Amino acid sequence: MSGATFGTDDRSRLLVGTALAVVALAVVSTTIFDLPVTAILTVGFAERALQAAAPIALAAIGGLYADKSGVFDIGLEGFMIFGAVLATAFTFFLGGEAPSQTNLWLGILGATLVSTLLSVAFAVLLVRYRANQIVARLAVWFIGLGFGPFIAVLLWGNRNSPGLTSMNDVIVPGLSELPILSSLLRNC
Amino acid sequence: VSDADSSRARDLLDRAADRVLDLTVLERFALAAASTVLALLIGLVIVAAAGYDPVQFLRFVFEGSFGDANATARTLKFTTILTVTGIAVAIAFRAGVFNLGVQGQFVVGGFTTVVTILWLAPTFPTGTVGGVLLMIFGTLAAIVAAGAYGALPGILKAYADANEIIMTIMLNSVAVGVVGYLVEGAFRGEGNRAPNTERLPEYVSLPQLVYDNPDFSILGFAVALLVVALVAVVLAQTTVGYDMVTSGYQQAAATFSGVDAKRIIVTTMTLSGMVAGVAGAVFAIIIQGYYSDPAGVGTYGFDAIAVSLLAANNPLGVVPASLLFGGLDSAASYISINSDIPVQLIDGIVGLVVLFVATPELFRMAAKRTGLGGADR
Repeated sequence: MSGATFGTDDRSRLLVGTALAVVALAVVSTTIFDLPVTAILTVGFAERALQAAAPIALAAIGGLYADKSGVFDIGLEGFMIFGAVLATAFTFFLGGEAPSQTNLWLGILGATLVSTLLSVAFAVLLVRYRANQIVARLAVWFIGLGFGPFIAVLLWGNRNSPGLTSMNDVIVPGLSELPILSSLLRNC
Repeated sequence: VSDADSSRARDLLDRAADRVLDLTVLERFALAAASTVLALLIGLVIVAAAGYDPVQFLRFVFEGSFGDANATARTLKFTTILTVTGIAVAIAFRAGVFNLGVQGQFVVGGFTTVVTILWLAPTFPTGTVGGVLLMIFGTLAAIVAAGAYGALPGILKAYADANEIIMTIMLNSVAVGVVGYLVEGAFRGEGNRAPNTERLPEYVSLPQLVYDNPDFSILGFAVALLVVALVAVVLAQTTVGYDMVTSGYQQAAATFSGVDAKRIIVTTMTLSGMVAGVAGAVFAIIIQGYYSDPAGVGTYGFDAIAVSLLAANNPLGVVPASLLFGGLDSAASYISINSDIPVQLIDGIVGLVVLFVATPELFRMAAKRTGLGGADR
């Protein structure tokens, strides 16, 4: 699962291949299927792509730690669910339906701490009690799928929490003045 | 490796496998029971902590799963699908291949069944004979399509060094996306407001016996048991099955005794996909009668992983395991109607069961600590 090492040769070949495939896909979709590619590839598109990529990238960094140590963590999804529901719950307890920015950050901090404690308990189960790695990680996923919505229903009577305010934009002085990237980075 | 050597190696492996199996069957059964009880107990504690009545919850669980004929029929409906999908998972896990793509293969199979039956129906006679023929052809089409869909990640794992866990998980999304697209557009029934295919003709259905439930026929459960028997025989009595099981125990030993590891991976994934196809066909014909957006057909393929793990990937163990999970599913739909306890709790309990099954050491240590002489053996 891990340790697939590419030589530079393989890597550049892979890169060229991927680039060619993307170009081919673009050509085919514009000519045969008549997709308005230019209308799709806008700044807003790039912005939303970055937004959607953020949680995936964060989870992937977590998965990287597991993968580097030789285990394949398919339980990430479970801990992500717990993190999400806990962050929302903490924020809700701190600030109700109109939380302040501090409440939001505290919510994230609290969720991270509790999720860490949960994964320590899980690690004890894996190491001390020698649980089967893949099976136990699958179980974490199932537990998250069950107890995540369960907690939500207990707190809000619904699988969906009420809408929360979002984070304010963080403006990084140097980056927000770059010519093309600025419109992209300013709103993320 | 000479023939004599290889047959001796096989003999040795055979005896070793026998011993491992003998030792663990009882132990595994006790482990499964202990895990289930412990998970239910934790569930009851959570119910109590959340401010509901745990005794009433437990009563609902039993009433909703086997309380009356209606509940039993509903339980058997879930059990039927979980048995077949569970077998599909068990085949792969037994051979050491992690097929997490049973959900996708199940969707592809079910959709193929409906499309095939709708396409063939005009050329076949109506009535019982036509109905039976259509069901047979529909199921065969599902077996072929889902088998091919399962073989794909198998081939990529065997010959292109792909990771089958990632491949199969991703192919689930591909199946759901593509079938969803087709049901939405090209195969949507005429004048259907919802993204559903046309309904299957009335005569393409199994007769209502024993239970009077329009979504279930006991014959479907019989089909599931037939699949269990077939797969059990294939795994225990045929050379292919033997090669698969030995590969699962130890890849190196299997290769040493002359097993072509790559071919076994492809065979395993194909067989697993074929069984998932049967599950899809049974679901499409008996339960739904048409095909809808696969994002909403139920996660039988994922629940099947839990079923198979609880059964220690033993085909015969899949039947009681899927009875348990089918009962829990059935109880969940009963509870959602008759009480305000959040039903998601049931999914969490299923997860806890799997977690404890993965941790036999926990029970072993607990048994030693309390001096009970081993709750799990």
